[in-house]
Amino acid sequence: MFKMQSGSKNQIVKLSKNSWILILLFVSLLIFFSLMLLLKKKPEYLSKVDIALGTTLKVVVSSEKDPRLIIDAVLREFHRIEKKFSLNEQNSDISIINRSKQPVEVDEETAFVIERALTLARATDGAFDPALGNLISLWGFDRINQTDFNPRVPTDSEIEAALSRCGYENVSIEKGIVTMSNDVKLDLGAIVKGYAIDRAIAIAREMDPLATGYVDAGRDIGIIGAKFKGEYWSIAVQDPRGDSGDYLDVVYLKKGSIVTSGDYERFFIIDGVRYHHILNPKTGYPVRKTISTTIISPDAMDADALSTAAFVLGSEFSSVLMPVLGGQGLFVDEQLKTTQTQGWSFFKEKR
Amino acid sequence: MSPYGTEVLSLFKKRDLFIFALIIVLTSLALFWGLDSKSGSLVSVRIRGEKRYVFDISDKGIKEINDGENHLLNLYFTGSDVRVQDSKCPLHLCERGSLMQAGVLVCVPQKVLVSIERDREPVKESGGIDLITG
Repeated sequence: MFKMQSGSKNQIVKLSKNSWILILLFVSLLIFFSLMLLLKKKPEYLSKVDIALGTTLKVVVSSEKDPRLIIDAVLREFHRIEKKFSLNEQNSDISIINRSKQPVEVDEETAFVIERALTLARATDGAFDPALGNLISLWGFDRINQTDFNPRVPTDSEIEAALSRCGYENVSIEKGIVTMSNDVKLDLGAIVKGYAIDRAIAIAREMDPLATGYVDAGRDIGIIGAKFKGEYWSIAVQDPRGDSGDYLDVVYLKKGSIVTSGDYERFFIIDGVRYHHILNPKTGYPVRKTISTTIISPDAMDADALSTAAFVLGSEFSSVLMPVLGGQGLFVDEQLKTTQTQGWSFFKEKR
Repeated sequence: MSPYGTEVLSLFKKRDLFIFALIIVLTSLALFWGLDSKSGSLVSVRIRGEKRYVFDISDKGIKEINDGENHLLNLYFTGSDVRVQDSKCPLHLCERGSLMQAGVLVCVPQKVLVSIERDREPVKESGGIDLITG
């Protein structure tokens, strides 16, 4: 009720029932939309897909600064690393080292990657081996992404000859100088993608420490920041023999990385036999006892190398060794039996 | 006795209520559905990083994809999904899965990338799977 002057006569003006309903409706809607706006204030994510390091690359970023700039910087970094470490680039550091008959001086970054690769090779007793270049090349897996790739199964004697020119023990690095003996060739394919993910995360955080999102390089994932700045990303582990949408497990991460190696990623089939890209450094043939290994680790670089090592070592040994090396894992053997490290279950709950 | 007279003031008529309600409903629909409905309906094809084709996902039939010189692959549009067919790559890995399942179709050897055009990445606010490894 309010007082209102109407001409010279004082009157009390009462609003009709309909008017009250409408006013109430407007006030309710105002509150409703204000609440909606508050709720919708959750960060918005932008994304971009690309092809790099022989795989699909997806970068998803939310930032109060310009997320497009961050995404483009991350993609540029992937392409830079591809140029520097790819065997298919004639002038990459790795191609130059492999061609040279003399010790080669490398920059700090290349030295860091090679040193870490050799450390992990020693720690896994060569299950992860960055000096299998001759063997990988014999099978053709270094050319699998080229249009003229012609798959074939090498003979036993060819494999034996290639194995005699493999092995991380033939590689050393000191003060940035790489020395290789026995005609071995480096192939850092099982660690460089992880390194690129780590660099991508570092760049995104450098540009905006509060940026959130993730990098997905061929389903190897590094977390830039927690979902909506505080929630977990739900990450499903693909069933290696299931259809799309069949998952073995789901884990929750706000940081770190998760990498999977599988016999279904890069392979060819000849006479009904599947030949995949993860080779046993001792036999020279694709590993048969494992079909999938997934590793969670603070660094994607380590997770990348460890998932390969676990694939070669098998479930039983890996479930003990991986935690010692800083990884928690889920392993699937040829019988489709899954084994996990003790710490894996930590990631199955939102803590 | 009150010195004041009493007058019932009706600011709106009954039918106004329906008009307002209608406007509010339509505005809400436009805000929460209408703006989003346009994104995600276009499919772009990039070859070696360059956008070369854009299709509507509701298209049906086969689209030939070439780089100006060579035929690379075909895209089969079902009306709601897309698949790769007859790729000229050696292993035909790109022919596995569909766009709606995988979110993106990639032929790495030929550097062909098929994706849904959108500015924003839909991120689930609660429940469900955000990402897949493997």
